Formats: sequence, structure tokens, C-alpha cells
Amino acid sequence: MARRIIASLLLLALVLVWVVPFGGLLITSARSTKHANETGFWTAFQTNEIGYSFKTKGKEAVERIGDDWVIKGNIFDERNAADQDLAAQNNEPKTFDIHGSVARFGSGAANPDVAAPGETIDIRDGQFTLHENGDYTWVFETEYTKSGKTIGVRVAHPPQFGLRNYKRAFADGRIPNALINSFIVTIPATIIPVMIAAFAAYAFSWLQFPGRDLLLGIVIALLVVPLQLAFIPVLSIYANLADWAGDLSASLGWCSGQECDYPAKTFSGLWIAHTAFGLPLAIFLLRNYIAGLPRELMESARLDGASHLQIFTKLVLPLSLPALASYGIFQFLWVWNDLLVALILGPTSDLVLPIEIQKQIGTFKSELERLNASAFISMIVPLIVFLSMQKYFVRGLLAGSVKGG
Amino acid sequence: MWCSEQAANDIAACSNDKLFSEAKQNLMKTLGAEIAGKLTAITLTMLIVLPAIAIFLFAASSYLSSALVPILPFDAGTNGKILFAIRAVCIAVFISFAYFWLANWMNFKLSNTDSERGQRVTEAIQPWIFIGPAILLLFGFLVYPTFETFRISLTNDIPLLDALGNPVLNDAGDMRQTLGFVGFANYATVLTSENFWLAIRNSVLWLFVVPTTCIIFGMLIAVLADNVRWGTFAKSMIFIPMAISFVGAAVIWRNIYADGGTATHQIGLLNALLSPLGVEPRFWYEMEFWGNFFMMGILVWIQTGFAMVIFSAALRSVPQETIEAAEIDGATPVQTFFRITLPQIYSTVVVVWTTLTILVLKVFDIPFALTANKADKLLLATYMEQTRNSQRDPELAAAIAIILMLTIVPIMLFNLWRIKVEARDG
Repeated sequence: MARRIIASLLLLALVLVWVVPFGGLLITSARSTKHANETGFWTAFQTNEIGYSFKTKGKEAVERIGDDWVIKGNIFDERNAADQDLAAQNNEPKTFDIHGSVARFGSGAANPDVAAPGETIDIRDGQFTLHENGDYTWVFETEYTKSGKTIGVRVAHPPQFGLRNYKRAFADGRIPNALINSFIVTIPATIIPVMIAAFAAYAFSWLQFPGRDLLLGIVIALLVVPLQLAFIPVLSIYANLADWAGDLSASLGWCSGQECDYPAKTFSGLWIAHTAFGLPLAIFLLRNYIAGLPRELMESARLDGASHLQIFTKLVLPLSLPALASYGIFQFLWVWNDLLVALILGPTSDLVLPIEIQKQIGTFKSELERLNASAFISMIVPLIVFLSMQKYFVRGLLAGSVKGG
Repeated sequence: MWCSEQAANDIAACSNDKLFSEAKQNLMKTLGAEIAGKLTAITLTMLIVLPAIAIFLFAASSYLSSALVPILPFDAGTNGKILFAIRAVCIAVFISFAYFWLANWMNFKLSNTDSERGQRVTEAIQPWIFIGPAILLLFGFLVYPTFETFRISLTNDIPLLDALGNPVLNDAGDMRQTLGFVGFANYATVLTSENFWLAIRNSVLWLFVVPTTCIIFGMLIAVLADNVRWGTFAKSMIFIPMAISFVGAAVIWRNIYADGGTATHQIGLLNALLSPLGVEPRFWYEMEFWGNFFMMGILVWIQTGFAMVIFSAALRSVPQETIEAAEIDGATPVQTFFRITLPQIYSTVVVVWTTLTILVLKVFDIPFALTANKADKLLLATYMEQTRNSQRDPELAAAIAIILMLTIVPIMLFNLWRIKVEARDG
């Protein structure tokens, strides 16, 4: 029994190490800029003291009360209203409201720790009082003629979550664009190799032709070749093809001048490259499976006069669906998550998600909430595919732990 | 031989036989020619017809698309993009289906399938239609590039010489350069570069740390999960990182390793955990040298699930009697594991180790995304990309690619050999 408990605790600790980082991503992606960049994600469920600088109202708001000139307001309401206006002007989604209670405040952004809420301090010859709920009064003996003053406030901010970062990511254009690009790349680059490999695997297991074993040997040997080896020649093939296609359409009069500079890196180039790079493993896995289908079945279908295409589509494909699914999910995840091939052979203006995220790691250094939201968006599709087809994925792993990704 | 022995008995029959076999040989020859001819015809037709269909469909569907753009729910740009995506995906998939269907149809139309000869021809052509695309792609994108990369790695800029062997000068009076054969000079350059040895040092570190740690954690979790009731749930949690990209994982772990925040708040979890122990806050993966280990941690986090799944399956295949026998003999669980269980799944450990080793040799995304190829974080793959892209030296990069392959080949060969041995031994 004690052994069970120890095992449980140890496993729990390990699972936490695996799950907490995911939690960090989700939590950070749902927080405000201030929260995400100044406090740790593990403090997101508690009240955090966060330093803000607020601008008070100025001479335009001065009222005469008795002998005094008085400015009254609420720092939170004013700031939230201003933030919403700015967001609306920039066509951005609604900002996170600052709410909570004043913990300390001071006369400048740099010294927020001077006074406690309810206390009065001297600012520009006036008596400035800030209450816990953000209400302030600023009392002068002579008329105040300047604009507002920036004050530093430490706000005890209760937990706050929202979808603003996701809305911003979708409104921004780059992430939706990258999402669509990832679909454009991934769907054909998954279906085409599965189909080509299935046909080849069928031929390698059930058809007779000269050089069959040699060719199969070569295909399996190609599992050895790292992708890096292919990049430089393939890139120059693509560049030559683009030049040639440009010249051809120029001579046919389909385009002129700059229009004829076709890009060397295209979606179709990426499809073909991913297809080719995935084939050795695909043929290896599918051949193992298809060769194991019952011989009598194939022979009786032949005797009944079925052509090979018919046997393949009506018999082999339905029977090998599990293997096709195993390899398909493998290839899907591999292509969706691929950075290297897309970076080298993919279109330079239409980026796929991993490249977009990689760029955002650099650009959103002080907007971590946006970086995390983008990263989570990039993971949704593979996570859905993975969780719904985990069984097939595991089967594929067990069948072909030969290729190293 | 056989004919000459028979000759004495029946000359006529023998010569008949001989004639027949010659005719058969001739038939085979013409059959071979016919097969090759028809195969070429099919290939050429496909190469012309399929791109033509693709271009036609793409052009035709652009009208449909421009009609649909105003109807769809998003803004015009997004609508156009989505429609482009649908068109591109459908056409690409359709074209590859069309190939198999069309090629097959042509094969049957080109020969008279009622005659025996025609049937033979179609039968002989059939396999090539099926494996054709695969073979073409593999040769074009893996076989040819391997040799071509090797050839490129033997060339580099050399002075351009005129017919008399004198260097050609450009207008500024400098020697003009041309690409030429330089033997193994690129390899010498690579082997003497400081960054290469940094990349090798880091690769060796990654090779030691990542597979070992993944195997230890994977085994530990697989064993523990077998002993608790919520084991399946635990395993699926550990397994999830397999689904996400290395770049995504880098973002996830940035939240753990980061430095920053305010005086009272750290935004990196590791700093927050360690600061009560008096450890200076820092950006963990940016540390000189030691930063490598924190990036390895990310890969371990992703790949432990792989090791765990394989080990889980292997543990289940260990015969229960052997373990029970050991327990009856009074062995502790630890003894049972190391003496009984582990030896029985040893070959699985080797599989996982080789797979992870190959994966580690090709790791690119994590250091690329997190450190922008800083010299002391280079790995072979990032070093190659740095040489190719930043230094604009594809010839040197080709040499690095060849070196990269030479490091992988022995492990792969070992793996394939092991599979073969296992298949033979059942």
C-alpha cells in the first residue's frame, strides 16, 4: 500500500512538471499586458499588487467649492474610459479594465509607495487625497491653471482573465493568415503522400516487376538521408523551374516585365517536398501492413477478374485504413509543426504558423500575453487531431519507430 | 545443351524447339520495347496533361472564387485567402487522384486487352504506374540531391582563368571568381572553423543528455503508471507534448525560464522557485554554455512521451510469470525490474535510443527559435543553416550536410540491421 502511495506521489510530481508549463501558456494568454509581463502566471489566481501610473484631470475640471478650488475624479474610471476610447479608435478589441483597490500611492510614477489610501499628500501646492476605490480629491487655495499630473499608484488587482489577446490575434491578420497557410500546406502534404505511398506499397507487396526488391531496398535506405541534404539542390531546382516558367510565359505573352519573375518558393513546391520527404517512412510502414493482408483474398479477387486498380480501391484501401490513419496523423503533425522545410522551401511572404510564432518570439518580448495566445492558436489544430486519433498515432509509433522525425 | 543432347534423337523437333524459343525471345524483345514505349507515352502524357488540368482548373475556379468573395462572412482579404486555400487544396488532391485514374485508363486503352499480348503489356506497365510517382519523387528529392550536395561540397569560388592560365581581372582589377572543383577544401574549412567545433561539442552534449534523460523518465513513468489506478490519465498527460511544435514548446518553456517582471514579482517560474534559495534571477537558456541544458529540457519534455509509450507497450509484453516467479523468490521490486524486466525489453530500449539519437542530431527549431543561432548554442543543423543563409556559402553548407549525414548513417544502419536480425529471429 505504501508503495502505491509513493508511486502515486512520484507520478503526480512528474505529471505536474508536464502539465504546469501548459497551464502557464493558457493562463498567460488570457491575462492583460501588465499582468502577463510583470507577474508570474502562477500568481494569476491571487490579488497582485501592480504599479500603474495614472494621469489626473487638470484645470478643465477645476470646481469652486467654498474658498477652495477642487478637482475630483476616479483614477480607475478615467483610465478605463480613455483606454476603451483608444482601443475603439484603433479598431482593437475592448481592453482589460483596471479594477481593484489602491494599496499605496505617490506623487510621481517613480515613487508609488509614499502614502496609504485615504491619506493626503502635497502635490503642486494642492492637497491630494486618494481613496481605496480610486476616488481622488485635489484641493487648492489658489486657482489651479495647469494640466493633470501623473501619479504612481500601487493597485491591489484581483484576478482577471479575458479573451482580448485572442481577439487581437485574429484581428491582427498575421495569425489568421498563417493559420490558413498552415492548412494550405498541411492538407495536400498529408493526403498526397498517403495516397502515393499506398499505391507504391501495394505494388511493392503484390505486383511482380523487375528490380522490385532493389527498389524497395533503396526506398528503405533513404530513411537514412537527413532532409538537410536535399535543401541546396532542391532550392536550385525550384529557382531554375521558376526562371524557366517565367521565360515560357513571357514568350507566350502571358505576362511582361516584373510579372514574369515567378517566386521559386511556393506552396506547391512545399507540398512536393513534404511528400517526397515523407515517402520513405510511409512506404516502409504501409508496405509492412499491406504485405500482411491475406493472400487468398487478393488471389480470389484476381480470379474474379478484378483489375489491380479495383483491388486496390475496393479491397486494399478499406482494409488498410488503420495503417493509413496511423501514417496520416504522423505526417499531419510533422508537416503542421514543421519549421525547417517551410523556412527554406516555403513561400517567403505567406508564412506558416511555426515561422510566424518564431518571429513573434522576437517581436513580442514585452507583450508575452500576445505571444502566448498566438502559440496556443497554433496548437489547437494538432491537439484536436492528436487527441481524437491518439490510438492510431500510438499504433504508428509502435510500428515504425525507425525514422527520427 | 539440352538441344544438342536431344539432337541425335529428333533433329526436327529440336530445331522446332529452337525456333520457338528464338521466336519467344524476339517476342520478349519486342514486348519489352512495346512496354517501354507505352510507358514513356503514358509518362509524357501525364507530365503535359496534369499540369495543364491544374492550371485550367485554377484559372476556371478563380471566376467562381471572385463571385463568392462578397458572399462569405469575413472581410474581402480573408475571404479571398480562404477561397484560395480551398481551391489550392482541392486541385492538388484532385490532380494526384487524377494521375492514378488517368494513367490506369490510358494503360488499358493503349493495348488490346482481349489479346494475350495486350494483357501482358498492361500487366507489365501496371506496377510502374503505381510506383512511378513515388520513385520519381524519391529520386528527385532525395537520391539526386544527395549526390548533388556531395558534388557541391567539393566546389567553391576559385579564380577564373583564361585560356592561357592567367587570372581574369574585373574592372576594379581584382581577380574574377568562378565556381570550381576544390577537392576537400570545404571540409578542411569546416573542420578548422571554431563554430563547427562548438556545434560538435553541443551536439555531443545533446546526444548524451536528451536520449538518456528521455529513456529514464519514459521508463520511470511507464513503470509508475502501471502501478497506479490513474496511470492511463497520467500517461496521456505526459504524451500530449508530442502533438505540438518545437516552436510552440519553446514559447511554453519561455514562461518557465524567463527573467524579468518587477522587483517583487518574477515572471519566470524557475526564478521564482529558486530565488528563496538565494539563486540570482537570470534568463536560464541564455546562459553561456549551461543554457544548452535548459533547451535540452524542452526536447526531453516533448519526447519523453514517445519513450513512455514504447516502453509501456514493451512492459505489457513481458510475461507475467517471470515477474511473479521473481517476487515469490523474494526479489524486491527494484531487483525484479533491473534483473527480470529490463533485460527482456532491452531491444526496445535500443530502438528508442536510436530513434531519439537521430532526432537529436537533426534538432533545429528549438535553438533557432530561442537563441537566434548564438555561437555557443549552435548544433550541426543550425550551424548548416547559419552557413547557408547568413554567410551565403552554400558550398560550405553542403559540406556540413554531408558531415551531418555521415553521423546519422551508422546509427540508421545499426537500426536497420537490428530490425533485420529481429525479423529473422522472429
